[in-house]
Amino acid sequence: MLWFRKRWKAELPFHMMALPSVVFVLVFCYGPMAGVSIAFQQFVPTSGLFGSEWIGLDNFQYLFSMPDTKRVIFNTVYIAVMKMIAGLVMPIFIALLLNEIGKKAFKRTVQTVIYMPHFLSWVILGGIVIDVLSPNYGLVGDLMDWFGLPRVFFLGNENWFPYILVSTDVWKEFGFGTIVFLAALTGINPALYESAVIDGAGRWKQTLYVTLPGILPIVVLMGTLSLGNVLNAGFDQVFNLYNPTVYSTGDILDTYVYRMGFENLQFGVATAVGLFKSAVSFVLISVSYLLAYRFANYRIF
Amino acid sequence: MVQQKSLGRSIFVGLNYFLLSIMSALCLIPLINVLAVSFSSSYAISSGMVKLWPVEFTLRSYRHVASKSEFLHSMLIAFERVGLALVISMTLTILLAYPLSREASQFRFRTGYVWFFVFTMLFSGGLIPSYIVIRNLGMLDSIWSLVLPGAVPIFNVILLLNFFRSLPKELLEASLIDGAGQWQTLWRIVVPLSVPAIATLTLFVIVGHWNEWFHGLIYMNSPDHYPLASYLQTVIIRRDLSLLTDPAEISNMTKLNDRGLKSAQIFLGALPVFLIYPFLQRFFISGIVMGSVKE
Amino acid sequence: MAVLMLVAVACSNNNAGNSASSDSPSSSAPASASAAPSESAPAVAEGPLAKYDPPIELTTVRHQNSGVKFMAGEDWDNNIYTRELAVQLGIKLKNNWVVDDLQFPKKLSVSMVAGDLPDFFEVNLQQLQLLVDAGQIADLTEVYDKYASDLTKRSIEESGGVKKDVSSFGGKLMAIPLDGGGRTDAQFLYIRNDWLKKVGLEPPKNMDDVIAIAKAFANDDPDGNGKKDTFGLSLDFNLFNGWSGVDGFFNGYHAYPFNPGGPNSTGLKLVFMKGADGQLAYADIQPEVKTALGKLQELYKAGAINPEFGVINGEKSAEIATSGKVGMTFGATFVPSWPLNDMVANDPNVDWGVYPLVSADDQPVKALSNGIVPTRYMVVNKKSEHPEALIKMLNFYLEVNYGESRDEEYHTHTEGDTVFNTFSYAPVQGGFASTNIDDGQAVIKALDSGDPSALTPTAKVYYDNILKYRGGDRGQWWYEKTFAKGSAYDLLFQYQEGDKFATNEFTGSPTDTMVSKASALRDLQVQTFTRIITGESLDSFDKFVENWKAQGGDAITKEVNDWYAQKHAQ
Repeated sequence: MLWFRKRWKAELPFHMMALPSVVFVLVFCYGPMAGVSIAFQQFVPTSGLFGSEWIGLDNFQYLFSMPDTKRVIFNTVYIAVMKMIAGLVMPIFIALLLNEIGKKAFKRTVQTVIYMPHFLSWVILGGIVIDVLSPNYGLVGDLMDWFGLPRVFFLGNENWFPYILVSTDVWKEFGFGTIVFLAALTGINPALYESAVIDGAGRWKQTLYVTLPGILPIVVLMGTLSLGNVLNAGFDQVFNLYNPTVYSTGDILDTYVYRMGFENLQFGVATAVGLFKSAVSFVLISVSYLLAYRFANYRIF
Repeated sequence: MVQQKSLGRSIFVGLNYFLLSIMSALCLIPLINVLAVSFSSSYAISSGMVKLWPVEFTLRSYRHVASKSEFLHSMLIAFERVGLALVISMTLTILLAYPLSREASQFRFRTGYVWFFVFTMLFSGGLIPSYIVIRNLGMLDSIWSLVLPGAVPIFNVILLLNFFRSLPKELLEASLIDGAGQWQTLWRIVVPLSVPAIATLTLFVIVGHWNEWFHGLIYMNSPDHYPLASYLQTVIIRRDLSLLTDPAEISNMTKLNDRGLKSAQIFLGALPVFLIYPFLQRFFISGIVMGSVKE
Repeated sequence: MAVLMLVAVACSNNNAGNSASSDSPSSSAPASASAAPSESAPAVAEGPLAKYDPPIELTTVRHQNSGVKFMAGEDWDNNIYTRELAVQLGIKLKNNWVVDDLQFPKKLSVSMVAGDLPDFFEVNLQQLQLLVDAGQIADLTEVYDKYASDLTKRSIEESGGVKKDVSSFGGKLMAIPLDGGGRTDAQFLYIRNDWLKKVGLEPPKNMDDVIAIAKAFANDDPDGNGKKDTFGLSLDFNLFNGWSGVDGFFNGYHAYPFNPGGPNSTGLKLVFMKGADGQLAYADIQPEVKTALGKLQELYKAGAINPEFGVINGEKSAEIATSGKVGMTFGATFVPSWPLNDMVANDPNVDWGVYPLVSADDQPVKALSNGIVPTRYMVVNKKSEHPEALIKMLNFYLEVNYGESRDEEYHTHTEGDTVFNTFSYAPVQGGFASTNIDDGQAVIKALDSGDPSALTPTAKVYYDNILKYRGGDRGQWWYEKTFAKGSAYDLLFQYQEGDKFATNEFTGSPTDTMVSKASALRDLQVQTFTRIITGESLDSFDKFVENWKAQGGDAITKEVNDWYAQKHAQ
C-alpha cells in the first residue's frame, strides 16, 4: 500500500499536467461525439439530436446499396494512397537534396520559396491550376507544343484526372512536408558520418547507410499518421477542380456525400459516412501502430 | 561532413542546384501571378493578358483594400486569434507531451492517456453537435469558439512527445536526483532543450489558425467578427454573377469583386505568415531531432 | 452557382402614374409613412400597418453579398428600415446573425438542428418543404387574409396566382414568396455585330443560320489576327444558365431541357411539359433534345465550341468571351450589364447585338421561362407570438416603395457618386415581376417623345444613362441594350405580347424522390450531355433516357403527375 501511495504521489504531477488537456478534449471532442447518433436516425434537422426516428443501420445500408458507392470508395482510396505515397517520397527526396546544398543562403531561399504554396487555399490554387492546364492557352499546353506533343485536356479527361489531383497536391504540399525531414536530417549524429567515411563510404553509401536509417523513424511516424487519411482524398481540392465528365475517376467520398447529403440536407447519411471513415482510419492506425511496435520495436506515440 | 571532390560530385551538385531552382520556380509562379494580377488594371485582367508581370500597372486594388475597414478589422481579429491560440495551444501541448513521453514504467496510465487522445484524431461528432456544444457553453460569436475547441492539437502533441523521448535521459535523471520535481525538470531542462521543436510547432499553430476559415463562418454571428481567413473566403470565393439579375446589383458586384482586388487581398492575407516564418526557420536549421535518433 | 435565380423583384420601382397607384387601396395606405409617424398609428391594432403598442421585438437572420454597402454609422442593426419599423410599426428587429449569402443555407441548417430558429427567416424551396413536413412553421393563411394590404395581395397573387400556389401546402399558406412571377430568365441571342460584318453574314433567321454563324466565327478568323483562336458559341459547365447556357439553342429545336451542372446546383428545378397524352413528361428526355444535342456536337466538331467547356464555370467563360475569343452566346436579360458591358466600355470596336431566339423550322420558337416559380420564401417560426408581423412588414415595404406614400429613400440613397441600395436593408422585400418590362417600355416612349416627365425615378435613371451612352459614354452601354428599343427587355416585352413563352407545368415543391435522387440524376444528365457534345455517339442519349427512368425518373414523373391531377381536381 505504501508502495502504491508513493508511486501515486510520484505520478501526480503527470496527471496534473495532462488534466487541462483532458478537460478540453472531453468537452470539445468527446462532448460532440453524441452526435454520431445522427447516423442511426432518419434525421430531420428541426427535431434536434435525438428527436428523429431511429432506423438502425438503414443509412449504412442505403449508402452501400447505391451503385456509385463502390466506385467512389475505390476512387477515394486510389487517390488518397497515391497522395500518401507521393506526399511522403517527394518531401524526403527534396529534403535529401536540400541537405546536400552547401550554400546556406541558397538553401534558405529554396526552403522559403517551396513552403509558399502551402499557404494558399485550393479556392485560389484551383483557379490557377485550371489556367495553367488549359489546352487552349495554358502554360503546360505551350510546353507540350514545344516538345511536339499533342495537347491534352487534363482536367476533362477521366484517365488523367486522378494523377492531376495527386501531382497538384504534391506540388502544394511537398515543400512544407520537407520541414519535418530536414529537421530529422540535421539531427543525425555527425560522428556517424565520420566513421562511415573512415570505413571508405562514398556520398551515395553514406546516404544509404547513415542518412536513410537516421530518418527512418520519422518516416515511419509520418507514414503511420498519414494512414489515418486513407479515406480523405482532399475535399477542397477535388471540389474546386472536378466536373461531371470526370466523376467516374475523380468523385470521392467527401464530394459524393456533399452532393448526396448536404445539397439535400441528408445529415443522417452524411454522418454515417463520417462514422464509416473514422472506423476505417481507427483500424488502420491501430494496426500500423501494432506492426511498427511489434516488428520495428518503434513506438509511434 | 567531409566533402569528396570528384567529377561525379560536381555534376551532382550542379544538377542539384538546377533541380531545386526549378522546384522553387514552380512554387513561385502562382504567387507571382497573384501579385502581377493585383497590380494590373481590371481590363487587362479580364482580357487574360496578365501572366507573370503586371499589365497596365496600377495601385488601385491596394488603395481599395486600404480603404476597406473590414479587411483591416478582420486582420486584427486574426492576430488576436493567433495570439490566444499560440499561448493556449503551446502551453497545453508542452504540458501534455511531457507526461506522455515518459515510459509506462514511470507513468502507468500513459498508454491509456495516449489512446484517449489519439481516439479524438479519428472520431468526431461532426459539425452540428460541435455547434451545439459551443452554443451551450455560450461561446457563439466569441473569439473563444475559434481558439478553445482545437486547443489541444493531438498531431503536434505526438510530434513533441517523440522529440521529448529522444532527449538524453541522463540529463532528466540527474535533474530529478538533484531533487527537482517533474514541473521544474520540464520547465528548466526539457523545454530549453526543445526550443527548435517548439518553434516548429509554433509555426504549425500560427499557420493553422491564420488560414482556418470554416469555423469563423459557422460560429460567428456577424461578418464584423470574422477573422481574416473567413473574410477572405467570402470575398474570394468564385461567385457566379449570373445568379443575380438586378442590373444595379450586378454592376456593383463587378466593381467590387474583380480579380485584382481579390489578388491584392490574397497577397496581403498571406503576407504576415511569409514574414514570420523566416524567423522560425532559423530554428529548423539550427537542428531539431523530432524523436528520430535512437541511440 | 449554376441555377439561374429569376426575377429580381426588389430591384426597381414601378409606380407613379400607372395602374399601381390607382389600385393602391386607401385602406392600406398609412396616414403618412414618413411624416409624423407616431401620430399615424391609430388605436386600430388590426390594420395592415397598425403600430404595436407596447412595441414588440422580433428576431431574424440575414444574408449579405459583398456588394451591400451601408452609409457611415449604419449597419444591419441600424438603418432606415430598422428605425422606421420601430417608429411606425412598433417592431424592433434583432438580427441573430448575418452571414455571406453562400454560407446562409449551411448556417441556417445548423441553426435548425440546434433549435435556434428566429421568429421569421428566409428559406429556399427545399428547406420550406422540410420545415412544412416537420411542422415547424406557422400557417399564415389567416393572418394573410386579415392583415395583407391590397398592394401586398396584388404582389403575392400576381401572374395568375402561381406564387401563392407554390407557397401553399394543402390549401394552407405556409410562406410568403419573395420572388417569382416573372419571365426574365427567357433567353436571347447575343451576337458580335462587328464579327458578323467581318465574315459577311446577316443576323440569324433560323437555327441553320445560327450554326453557320458559329462555324464562321470559329473558322473565318473574325478577329483578323490570322490565328484560329476564336469560338462561335459560348458554353461552360453549367450547360443551362442565364449567361452562356444553351437553353435558347434547345428552344430553337422546340426542346425545353433545364438542369444545370456545376458544383452548386441542386438538380431540383426540373421542367415538365404536357405531352400529347395529357400527361406531364420530363422535358430533358424528349426526342427534340436529342436533335439539338446532335447539332451542338456538330458545332463542337467544327471547333465552334470551346473544348474546355466541361471544366470552366460561368465566370471563366465570361472572361474568355470578354477577351474577344467568342462571338455569340445565348443569355438572359442581364447579359449586357454583366459580363459584356466592361468589354464594350473598354474597346470601341466591339459591338454586341441582341436578337430574339429563332426556330429550326416553320413552327414558332418559344423561350423556356421558369422564372414564374419563386425560389426564395419567407417563413414564420411556429413559436413566434406575432405571425402577422411578417405580413405587416411586407405591407410596409410595398407601401413605401410602390404605394401612394412611396419615398425614394426607402429604395436608394445617393451620396455623390455612391448609390446605396437601401431597399436591400429591408427584412422582407417584395415587388412586382413586370416592373422592369414596364420601365423599359416607358423609357422607350420617353426616348421617342423626348419627354421623361412621366418616368418613375428608377426609369429616369435608365433614360438619363441611355442619353449619356448615345452622347458617347460607352460605360453606359448596357442601359441601351437592356431597356431601349430592340433591347433585351424590349424583346422580352415582344415575347410576352406574342405569347412566345414555354412554361414549366410543374410548379410544385420538390417531390420525395426528387429530394433523394435529383442530384445523382442531375450528374447522370450533365455527364451524358457533355459527352455527347464532345463527340460520344448520339445513341447514348437513348441509354440515358432509359437510365434516368430506371434510377428514379419514373417515380418522379408519377409524383409530378399525381401533383398535377390533385392540383386540377381542386
